[in-house]
Formats: sequence, structure tokens, C-alpha cells
Amino acid sequence: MNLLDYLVLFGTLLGIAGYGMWQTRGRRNLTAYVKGAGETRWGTVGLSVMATQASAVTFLSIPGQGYQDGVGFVQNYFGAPLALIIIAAFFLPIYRRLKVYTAYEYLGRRFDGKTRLLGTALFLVQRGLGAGITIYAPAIVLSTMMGWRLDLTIVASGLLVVIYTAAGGSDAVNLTQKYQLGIIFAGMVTAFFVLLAKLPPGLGFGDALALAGKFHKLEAVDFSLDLDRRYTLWSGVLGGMFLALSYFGTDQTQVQRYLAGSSLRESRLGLMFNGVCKIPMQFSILLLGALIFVFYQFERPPVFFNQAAWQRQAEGSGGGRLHALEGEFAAAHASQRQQLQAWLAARHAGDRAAADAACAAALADYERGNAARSATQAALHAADPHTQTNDGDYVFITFILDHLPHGIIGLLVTVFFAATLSSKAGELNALGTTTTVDLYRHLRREATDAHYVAASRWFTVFWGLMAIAFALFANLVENLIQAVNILGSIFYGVVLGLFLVAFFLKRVGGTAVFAGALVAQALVIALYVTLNISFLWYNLIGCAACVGFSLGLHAALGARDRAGLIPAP
Amino acid sequence: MKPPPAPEFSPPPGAGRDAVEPGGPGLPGLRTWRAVYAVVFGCFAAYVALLAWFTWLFSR
Repeated sequence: MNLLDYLVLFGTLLGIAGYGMWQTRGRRNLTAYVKGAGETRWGTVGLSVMATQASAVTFLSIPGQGYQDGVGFVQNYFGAPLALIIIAAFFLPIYRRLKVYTAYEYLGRRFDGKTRLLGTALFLVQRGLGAGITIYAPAIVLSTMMGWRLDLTIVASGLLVVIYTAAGGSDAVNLTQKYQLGIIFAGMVTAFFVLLAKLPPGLGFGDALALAGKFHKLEAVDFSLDLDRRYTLWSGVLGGMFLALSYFGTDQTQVQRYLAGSSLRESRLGLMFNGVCKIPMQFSILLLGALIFVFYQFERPPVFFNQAAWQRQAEGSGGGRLHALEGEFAAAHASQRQQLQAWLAARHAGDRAAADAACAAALADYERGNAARSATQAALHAADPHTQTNDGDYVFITFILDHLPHGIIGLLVTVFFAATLSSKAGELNALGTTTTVDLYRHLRREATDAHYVAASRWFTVFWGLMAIAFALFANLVENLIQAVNILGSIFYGVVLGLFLVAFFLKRVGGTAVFAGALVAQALVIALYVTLNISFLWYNLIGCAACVGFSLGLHAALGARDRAGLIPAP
Repeated sequence: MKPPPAPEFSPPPGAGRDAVEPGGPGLPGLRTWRAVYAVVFGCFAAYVALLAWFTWLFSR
């Protein structure tokens, strides 16, 4: 990065944060601080919901997924539109009618205090941990690639978001997210077109797609019924729907975003905007990764994308082996490139037999290169067991730093930080609000609005510092995006079960649902430890177990299971 | 003894608007929320169909 890149980076991030704080200064009323000033339109709600979900992990990791495994990960999002329709039709009107500040406040009013506390605790535990990953994930990748200090990267990005979120509350989050998402879209679209321009002469967009298809990178939909497969149409629609129902419908991080809408209409349209845009957006990011794969078939990639880790080991005692493997990889890649040029010429000439033969030879070279890559990963792991062998998170940033012009590098690095700030702001805002509304105000009952606003600010700061501390001491997990989703799936199903019982099973009371949720959560954790199935299924299992146990316990307890204060619709 | 309920906060500007103005989506050609949901569901079905076709097209 040069001076221009740093100007783009700091100018954009500080400018947006400063503008957000200035526009929302002086919030003294808790409702305005938590829900906004009641003027938020559907466009802002929709962008805010999108920005909260799309963290830097989305833009760093997902192109890497597209590069390594193809676009099949898009199936993970198939359940989202269905879930958003259900939330807009059933969940949202109840939240708004009861004028709750948090989703867990509704549980308290429907059941009792202990169920509210259970929902609050599950949210605070999993979101508190996830918040650390949101900062750590991009920081580790960016600091490694840029040569920055990891601790300074974490602290700087963490403190910036803490300051403007605590100062401006919900409106500051919504406002800054809108502009941050604008920067993100501009950066990703720029990267897409620059990538297309950098493809070899003669290789058009159609050729690039055909080539990606030959390497099995464009298998977007898998109809397989095999439960062991991580992403299929069925796990995406069913498991993904339960994950999205839980995340968008019961996670305060999202609930707070759409409750900020000035009316039921604005909140609903904001959700429907996401229902329409979510799948195309995720597919575009994955397709970008698949096209980077095509680019690197003609331009030799590093044998291991985390080049800092490779370099460290290459300078040590095992360096000879790593250099030899790099030589094998380079030879396989050179041969593969020749075969692909022959494939391209035959394709343009309409010679299908020659194209098929060249493609088969290129695939054989690709397997040789992959074997050298796998051996490199094994050698790195053997030399240092802490080395992360999955280098997918480093693919996109390597492409950016090695092949994009200055200015655009700054823009793309800004994208990653803007995404970190936007999702982190939503999380901190929700954590601070939930701690104030569902815990603190039940301990300190007679206080002014100004007091609760101050408390909410301090709790936001507390969670921000907790997230920074967690990020500073966290160890890197195998794949960042999956770690976040797996963590969510373990807890989300049970939380969704709590809410489904609340909304639709009016006879079930707090005692049965509380015990049912605890047993269901224990079951999900036990299954996660013992089984090897797609993590998306845990959303379905946790939800079904919570509902089933609640019904069973309600039948067993009879009149002792007191029904809630507010009847279900 | 049952604890007293948690305090109510001051209402936001425009609070309670939904209770008296349930309203429709106000989108051209879409008079009811059911129509909006049908459009969103139609988009979902179209995306899945297009991606399935995309998969078939580039796996030959």
C-alpha cells in the first residue's frame, strides 16, 4: 500500500464515522438511542440489515470459498428469503405491537423472567464470542498480508467502532452502515471489472465461465440427499431457513435493525429488500472467487496463499523441501497453462475433440499441482502445528495486493474495514441494548431515561472492549466464515424453538419451555461433539428438540406449567 | 413476592402509528402484503431455477 491507498483508507473510514457521530449527536431519550428517532425509511433499514450480516469475513472468506470449492456455498443462503417472509408476516407485527426494545423482552412478557434471562444469556454468550471473531478474522489476514502489527490492527478498528456506536446509538449505526455498504458495493464491483480486464487476451467472460465449469467451480445447486455433504439444496433450504429464521427473527443484532423502521411498512419492506437481494449478492461474491480461480490458471499463484507463513518456514530447516514442492507446483502450473491455451484455441476453432483432450491434460496437470499444494500444507503443518493449512481466506487479498493498481488497493482494504465496522457496530449496539433492557433495568428499576442511555453507552463500551480482548487472545480457526456459522448454528436452533413456542403454542408456559430449551441445548452440543453432519442441520434439530421437549414437559407438568402473561396470537 | 414490572420508557416519536395505521405496502401494482410475499417467493424460486440451470449448463 502506498500513500494514496492509506489516504483512501483513513479518509473514508474516519469520514463516515465522524459524519455518523455528528448527525446523531445529543441522543438523550432511550427509545431514540435504542430504536432511532423514528424516521428510518425502508431503504436504510434494508441496507442496515444487510450490512450487519455482511462482515469482513463475507468479503475476505467467501471469494476464497469460491476459489477453492466453487459457488455451491450459495445454497447456504437459500433459506433466507423464506425466513424473511415468515418474519415479516408473523414475528415483526408482534414485536411492533408490543413495542418491545429487544426480542428477549418479548420472551419475558410472554413467559417469565427466567425464560427472558435464558434467551438473553444464549444471545450474549454466542454473540459476545462472535463479536470477537468479527474483529479478529479480518485483522489476522490483513495484518499478515500488510505486515501490520496484529494487536494494533485489532485495537484501532475495535476502538473506532466502539466510539461512534456508543456515542450515536442506533441511528449512528444505521447511518454509517448505509455509507459503508455503498463503499463495499463500489469496491466489489470495481474488483469484479478489473479482474475481467486482467483475464488473458482472447479469454472472454463466456470462456472464463466455461473454464471454471470444467474445474467444477460452478456447481451452484446440489440435489444430493447425502447428509454428510456440507452444502446441498435441501440443507440450504431447510437448515438455512431455520438458521435465517433464528438469526433474522430472534437475534437482537438484526431485530434492533428493523425495529428502527419508522413504521411496520418500512420495517417489512426493509426485510423484503433483503429477501430479494441476498442470494444474488452472495452468488456474485462467490462467482468473483471462481473467476479469480480462472485468472490464476494463467497467472501462477503462490503455492500457499498465506505467503508470510510459507516464507517463515522456507527460511528454516525445512526450507529445502518447501522450495522443491514449489518447483513441482510451478512445473505443473506451466504445463497446465500451455494446455489451457491449447484448449482456448481449439474452443475458438470449434474443434471439440482437441478442446476435450487439452482440457483433460490440463486437469491432470491441475491434480499434480494440487498434490504439491497439499504436500506443502502438510509440510507447513508438520513444521509448525499452529500453522493454518486452509489458506482460502488469503486468496482474495493476495489477488488484490499482487494484481490491482494503487488507489483500488486502498479502496478494497477500505471495503474489508468498512464491513468490519458495519457488522461490529450492529453487534455492539445490540449487546449494549440487551444488557441494559433485559438485565440492568430489572436490577435498577427507578431511573431516568438519561440514566439508561448512559448505562447503554457504557455497556456498549464494555462489550466492545470484551470483543477486542477476545480478538487479541483468540487462536485462528480453520475457516473463519464457517466458524461464525457453526457457532451460530449450535445456539440458534434452540433460541428459535423458544420463540416458535412463544408465538404459536399459546398453552405452553415458562416452566416447560425453560427446561425444554436447556435439555435441547445440551442435546445439540452432544450431537455436535459426536456426529459429523452439516452444521446447518443443528438449527433444525435444536429448534425441533426445543419445541418437542417443551410440549412433552407441558403435558407432564399440566397446571404447574403456568402460561405467560401475553397470549400468543 | 412478585417484583414490580420493569419501567416503561418514554415513547418514540410516532409510536403507536402501526396500531391505528396498519396500511398496505404502497408499492405500484402490489396492493397487499400477500402480493409482496408472493413476489419475493417468486424471486427465490427463479434464483434456484436459474442456478440449477447454470449448474447444468457449465457441468457438461
